[in-house]
Amino acid sequence: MDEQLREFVKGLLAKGDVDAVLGLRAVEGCVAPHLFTSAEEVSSLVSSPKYPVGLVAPMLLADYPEAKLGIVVRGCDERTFVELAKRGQVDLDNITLIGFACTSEDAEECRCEQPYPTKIDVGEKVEGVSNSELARIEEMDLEDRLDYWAYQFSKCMKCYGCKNACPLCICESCILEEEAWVKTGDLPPEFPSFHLIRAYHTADRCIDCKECEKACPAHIPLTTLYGMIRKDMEELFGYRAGEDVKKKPPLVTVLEDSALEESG
Amino acid sequence: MADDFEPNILAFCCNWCSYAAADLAGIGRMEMPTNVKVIRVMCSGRVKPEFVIKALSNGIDGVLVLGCHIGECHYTTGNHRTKKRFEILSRLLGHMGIDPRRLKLDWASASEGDRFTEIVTEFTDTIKELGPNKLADYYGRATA
Repeated sequence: MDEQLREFVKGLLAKGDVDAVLGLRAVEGCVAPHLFTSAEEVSSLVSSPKYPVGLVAPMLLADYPEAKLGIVVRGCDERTFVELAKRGQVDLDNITLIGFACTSEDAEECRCEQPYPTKIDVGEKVEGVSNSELARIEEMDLEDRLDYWAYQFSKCMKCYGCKNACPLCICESCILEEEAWVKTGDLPPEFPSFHLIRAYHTADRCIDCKECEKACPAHIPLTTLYGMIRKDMEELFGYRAGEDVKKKPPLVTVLEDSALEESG
Repeated sequence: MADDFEPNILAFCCNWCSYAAADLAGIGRMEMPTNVKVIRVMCSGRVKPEFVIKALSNGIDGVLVLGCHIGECHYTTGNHRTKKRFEILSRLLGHMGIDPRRLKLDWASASEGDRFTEIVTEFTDTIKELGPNKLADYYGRATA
């Protein structure tokens, strides 16, 4: 699969459609994002494990706004770029997305419902996996649910890993770092406000990439909570984050669903 | 639930409609429970969901958010946003295991003192039924 991806990227670079390709490079047994500018370099390009390239792309594009960039994206990365574009972080016209479909093992590991991008260049589309934990919690009554989350969040050591790993946590200053909302020097963080605030803030942008959960050293099932809200957003507003770049997030629009116009 | 439970309730009222409704209820000497503490905001759209989250987290038993009726907002669409946000927030509270009935969003115009009284009375009854909010006891924090 990696070989196929390398060939595709080489072809793209050779044609001159893109100035450079953002992908992953194997470094000491891990992967790190890397900007591939020549065909020779591409031999070190790898696809796994997954890494949220959406974290670095906006920085690159801010420094080189004219550059035509190719980016290797999985399904979740593609959805990330849709949300980033909505929020003015990237310009999709300057980006060529190279769609990479996850394997069934990847999908299983992430419990990903949509492990493929809309346009697949490399790999085969596999069916998504549903999150069984979500169904289990939905069946609990309120009291059991509160106990469940109280236990899960009691493990939180406030490392902000979830926030740092999130490709869509793009606010320049974070409310969770403000003393007025989150007391410093206190562990675990206040329950449930710390986690409810973060959950609310991801409501219209979480694209289910699981990066927060993977970053969490305490294995808190964050995406189960966020998955419930993703479901609500669909039920209440027919909105799925990462799906359509033209669809405004419902929390910033008025009730008729049109964008809120500035009055003159 | 013990009958002597007196809930602590916060009400965020917008300057233009519901705060005036509260005023009118007062001037009209209408009777209602005294459990509600009113916080005046310029618009219900000013009430960040974080306000509610923090209040409940600190042990407030119930939160009322009152604004102008849809279509009558002083800022045209402030309450539209409130409505959308609070629908999601209310679901979120449920997912976390907090009874969503502890949060209520409603509208009262400046001439609806009686409606204000009704909402406050009903909400206080609901919260009395639900009993005290024990969230502040988690992780050994003292009740606020």
